[in-house]
Amino acid sequence: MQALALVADEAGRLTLAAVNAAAEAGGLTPGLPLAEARALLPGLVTVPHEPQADARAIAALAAWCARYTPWAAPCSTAEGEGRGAGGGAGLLLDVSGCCHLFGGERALLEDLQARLTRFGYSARLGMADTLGAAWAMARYATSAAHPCVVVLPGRQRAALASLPPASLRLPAGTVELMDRLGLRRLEDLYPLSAAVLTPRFGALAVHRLAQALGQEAESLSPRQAPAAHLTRQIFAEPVSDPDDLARATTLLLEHLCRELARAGRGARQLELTAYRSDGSLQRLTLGTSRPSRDARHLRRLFTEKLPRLDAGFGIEVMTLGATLTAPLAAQQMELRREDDAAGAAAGAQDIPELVDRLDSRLGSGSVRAPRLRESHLPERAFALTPAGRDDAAPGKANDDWQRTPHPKLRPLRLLTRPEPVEALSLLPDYPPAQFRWRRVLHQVVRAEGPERLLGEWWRSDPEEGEIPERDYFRVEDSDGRRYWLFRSEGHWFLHGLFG
Amino acid sequence: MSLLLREKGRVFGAAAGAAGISESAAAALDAPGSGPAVGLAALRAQVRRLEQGRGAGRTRPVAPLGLAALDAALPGGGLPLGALHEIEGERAEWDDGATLGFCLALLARLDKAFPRAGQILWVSRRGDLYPPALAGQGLDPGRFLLVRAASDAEVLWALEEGLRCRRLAAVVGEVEGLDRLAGRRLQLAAEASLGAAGDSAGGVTAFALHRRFRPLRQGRAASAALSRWRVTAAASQDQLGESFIGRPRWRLDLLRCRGAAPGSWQVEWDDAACGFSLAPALRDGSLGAQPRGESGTARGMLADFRNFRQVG
Repeated sequence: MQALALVADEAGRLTLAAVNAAAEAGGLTPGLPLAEARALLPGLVTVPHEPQADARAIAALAAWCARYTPWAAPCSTAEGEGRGAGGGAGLLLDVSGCCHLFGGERALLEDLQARLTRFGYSARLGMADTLGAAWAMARYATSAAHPCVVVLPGRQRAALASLPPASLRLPAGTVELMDRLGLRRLEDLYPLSAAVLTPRFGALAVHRLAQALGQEAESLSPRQAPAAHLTRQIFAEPVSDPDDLARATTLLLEHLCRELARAGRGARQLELTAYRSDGSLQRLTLGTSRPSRDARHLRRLFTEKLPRLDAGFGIEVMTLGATLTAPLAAQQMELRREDDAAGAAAGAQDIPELVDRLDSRLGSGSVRAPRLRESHLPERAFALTPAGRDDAAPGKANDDWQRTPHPKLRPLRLLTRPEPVEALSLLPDYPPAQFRWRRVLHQVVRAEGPERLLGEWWRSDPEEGEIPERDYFRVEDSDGRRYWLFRSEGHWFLHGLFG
Repeated sequence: MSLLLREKGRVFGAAAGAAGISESAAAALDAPGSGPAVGLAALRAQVRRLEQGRGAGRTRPVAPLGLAALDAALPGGGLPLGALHEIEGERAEWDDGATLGFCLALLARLDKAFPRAGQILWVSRRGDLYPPALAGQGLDPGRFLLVRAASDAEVLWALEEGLRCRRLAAVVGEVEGLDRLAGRRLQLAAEASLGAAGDSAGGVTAFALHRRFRPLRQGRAASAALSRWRVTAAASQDQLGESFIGRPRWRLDLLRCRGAAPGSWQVEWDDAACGFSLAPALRDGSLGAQPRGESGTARGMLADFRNFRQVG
């Protein structure tokens, strides 16, 4: 194996940030200046160190680890700053209650180890009651021959006894001080009271020791808040057939809907995560316009999305979580199903269902309902809100629209942006006699106007800026087509079309 | 239908025209002894049943357009519901307000015939329909669901989804092209909405609004829609007491319609009364553009401009 090192630039000083096994065998350690390293190993290959890329890779790995448990997070690199064996990136997994799914604690660790090795990582794994103890065991109690160590429940005190103080996630200075004072093993610290330790090594040392021994609680903040309702499907071997994936999704949905029914809730947002055998993962998210736990409806929403799932070399685990839920009272669903079976084709029964289906295929928010806005400026006179998201009953007559100013003087189509036209008017305040729009010359035969609209000075929108006053004219050309033109600061624009 | 065609081939030969069909069939039915009038009526009913496809034996619900000349020309006395209707403009490669105006007029008529306030799904690639103006057309903008799609295929898909939802009154799609297969799918879906909804008559009616952003290279594909309209803007006429620009006038060409003969009308749309009326140009029998006098010349324009009025 070629000796390889990552080189970091620390204030102009090139030092090694990480080394591979071959370089380590040659006597190189992280933190060594590059010049010295080159003297030791002339054939050393160096690559610039990219901390951001490292962080991304470890975050992706943490996301993948959610196949074991939703509580997975990358170790913050601030901990264990020391460049020795304790340095480097890490992952923390809270596997409470998950181990039996994988055949026990040791089986889980070995499975994880085997998979990580297959991805090309060399990993050391430790499992213990506390986060601190697991961190210490993984970094200081493992070896290349025994990469997995499990501390039996309640045994962390004995297990940690022979480890160095560096295993406590302490700053390098503190560790050095302990070393100078002859405290080389953690068991040396056990008899010392907090009153003795704190003035010399700081509160952090006491804190870390207590955390590692389980006398103080420490919780893991996961990468992503796990879904309150989560179902999981583990395949015996990687699956890539779309039909199989669809079937698995159906199964997951049925489980999830049963769970939701027990909890009396409906899903507003679902997340389907597929863990691929190459260690990457794929996510499909969909939202519903109203809480739902109708497996049939939700399955149809996923049917539109499933083709986007790239199975790669196969999917090993799929999880489906309801990331957003809302209370949904129990309701009778069986009757509707019979009704469905009785004849209606597989279509949306109700507007919200239709909105969900359209949204899931065309993109969230592509179905919108117009709402009146109090503004006399044509482009601001209405707003589009995502349909079905509000509680207003759909189809209800909306009296607001009666207040639309001059609806008959407004065009049926409003161009998104007024288009400049070359227009010719006989007198300054007259409507145009002819105008050229999109390269076609229109002779104006009839015209009506002007209707003067002023910018809304009370609205200070830095993006749109001040809208100067406009004189609008309705005009009809020699073919009978009607247009809405306006003149603003001496220029003519076409803004809309009439029927 | 095959029986009729065989008859046609035997009696009149391959060149027999449309009028020849009924005559030949009447001749064939004469033989058993029934009167020619009875035979004709029976045959017409049979043809109608064949042409209505799946809806055989039932009369298709229609929305009367409120203009005798139009309604008489349409099968069943109005715009058939639960079907696909295509609307195209004369110069369809440009944004055309007339097609949109006619489509909204049809929706308003549909509303008048079935005031059950189902929602209207409007699928478009460009979201430039202006909701506040809908109120002026006698439609409630709050009933519109505006869908933005990225491609024609998505528009057609959304239309088909909409046709399956019984809570809608109509679906409208602005499409660049509608090939025979896509039209057929929409037509079948619209008919299915009619079949299943026994209680709420009307079903879901689909409108395909042709809107091209590029000039059409080759000719249009044959259409599977129940009817196909071409709308051309026509010069309006101001009436005393009205605004200077009169009500919109369109020349409507019914290019094809299953169960009806093609026709042309020049109509005026009155949005306040929600009704069509025949424009005077047709009353005197001339369909062509009316003479416009001096307009177009500078002098004519000056004369016209004397008539400009300020909007109140």
